[in-house]
Amino acid sequence: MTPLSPQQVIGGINRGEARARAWIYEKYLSQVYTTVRNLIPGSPEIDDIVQETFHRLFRNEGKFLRIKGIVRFLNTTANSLCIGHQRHQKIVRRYEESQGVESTMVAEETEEYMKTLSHHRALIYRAMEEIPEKCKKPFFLHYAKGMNNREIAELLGLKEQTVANHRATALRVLRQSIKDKPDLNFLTIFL
Amino acid sequence: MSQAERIGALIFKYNWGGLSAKEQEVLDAWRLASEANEKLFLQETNLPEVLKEVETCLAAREKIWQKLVGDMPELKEDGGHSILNGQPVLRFHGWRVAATIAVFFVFALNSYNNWKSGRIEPGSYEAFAGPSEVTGSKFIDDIIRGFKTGIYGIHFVRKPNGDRIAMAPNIPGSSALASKELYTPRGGMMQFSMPTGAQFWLDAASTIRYPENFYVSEEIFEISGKAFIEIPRDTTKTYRIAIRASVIKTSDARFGLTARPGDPVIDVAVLEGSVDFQIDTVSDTSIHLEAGQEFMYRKEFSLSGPLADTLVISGWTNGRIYYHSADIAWIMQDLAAWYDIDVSYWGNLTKRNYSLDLSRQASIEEIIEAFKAQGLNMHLLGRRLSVYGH
Repeated sequence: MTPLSPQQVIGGINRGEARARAWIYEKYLSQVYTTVRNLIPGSPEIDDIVQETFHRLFRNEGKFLRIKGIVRFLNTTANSLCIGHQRHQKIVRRYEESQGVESTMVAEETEEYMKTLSHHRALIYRAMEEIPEKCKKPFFLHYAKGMNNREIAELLGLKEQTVANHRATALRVLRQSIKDKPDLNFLTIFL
Repeated sequence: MSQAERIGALIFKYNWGGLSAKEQEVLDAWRLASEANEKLFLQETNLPEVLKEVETCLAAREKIWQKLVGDMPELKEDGGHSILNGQPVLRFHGWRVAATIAVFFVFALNSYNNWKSGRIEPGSYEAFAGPSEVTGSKFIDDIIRGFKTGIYGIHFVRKPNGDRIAMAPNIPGSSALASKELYTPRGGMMQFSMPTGAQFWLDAASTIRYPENFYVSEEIFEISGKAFIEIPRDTTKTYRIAIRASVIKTSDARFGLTARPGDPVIDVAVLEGSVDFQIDTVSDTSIHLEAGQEFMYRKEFSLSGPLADTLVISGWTNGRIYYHSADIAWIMQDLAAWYDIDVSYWGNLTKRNYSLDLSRQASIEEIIEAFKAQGLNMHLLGRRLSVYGH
């Protein structure tokens, strides 16, 4: 991701610059994607709603003062698009009479839940981006599929030791990524 | 940083290692605050599912961007290439090489220290005075070093093989109901001896409440966790051992007892003598168990039968980790307490049983290898052991 200052991002979004839009997309895709996927799990329209969310942001030039405002816009848009999608689904299922109230409640009650979920996923996505490409596959096969080094080595045609090294590298990158975040020692404040 | 960001970061560290004790406390408090929090925690620590979703999102990243570019051609630049693929150009300077080398050494040293401090050791002799008496007072270490008399007047003797036994004093003036509480933490254990000759071995994460005055006709104990008990033959008195709502009565027995907090099962296995297992004081239903019999009780059903292997019951008191054809969850609750680790299960664990025969001082890596040799995949990350089903 090309490094940009907050001013460059806000100014770029307000002026419709491609590099600022790409920066926002890279940085907040995981949050938007997680929100949408959690609100309408299993829907074939997840990608379309994510795309529409960013599309609406990019069409809203000249309206933002802070990055927080951009993030709020993305969350609100993704939520309302999902609620609209849920309403539509309910109409299709002939449950028109109850859909409005329920849909609104889903989004309101889970706001903090969604924020925490999004932040956690965002950390993983960003950490994944930092894992070297050659290490990603062994890492996924182990943690997502429960395969051991020998099985992964056979599947990918690698030496067992190489698989072990790739996995260790991936894990090290993940752990390092959280160390780069602001100090968490102040957590005791809300103990 | 908002609370959502903090908790997100803590869950991340929980998953990939590096959570400090203080951070663990914060995370635990947040989990207990609401059912929604606990649900979110369980969802986000289900690594196979989380990673599948991450993989899906990463796969969708370029596809969604291309669709956006299709709708908004101005997103293209640099001769029509998507700027998502653009990489910053790195300039290479001599000072950067030096800085990189320095950072590498700092990182290597840090990694080594992390590895060293985060190493999982087997448990050892360790116990505390009960929280209701003296909060968190650890007494074993002080007494072991100098054989001093510690809290509650307990002193230690060392057996020829080096094992230590805590000896409880008799306090004759005490009321028959006066009692004291001791507990072993996760990763701790103790052997406890009464003036009457009764012996109690407490495994990790277990508690015992014992009477101050032993020379009465009926001694009342309370135990939770895992214990092995030897009651010498004495027809003049009865030992009552309360486990939740149930009670074991005996005047002569060697038996093992497992009643882990959070697990509804109470398991009693008698090696010598006999015991009466009273299911609860309300119904007064009692089951008589002779030597060589095992009884497994839970509210919905109970099972009794011959004891398969005596070493399973008493092996841990002699420094062995011994299981013969046992359920994986049953084995892991003991190991989790002894090695002070969290265990999580992924996929479908078949009804297959597993056996182990290792020293109690075996490393956690040796345990994992022993299970792998039986076809059960496990992975250790920080203090969390993931067990993978098929």
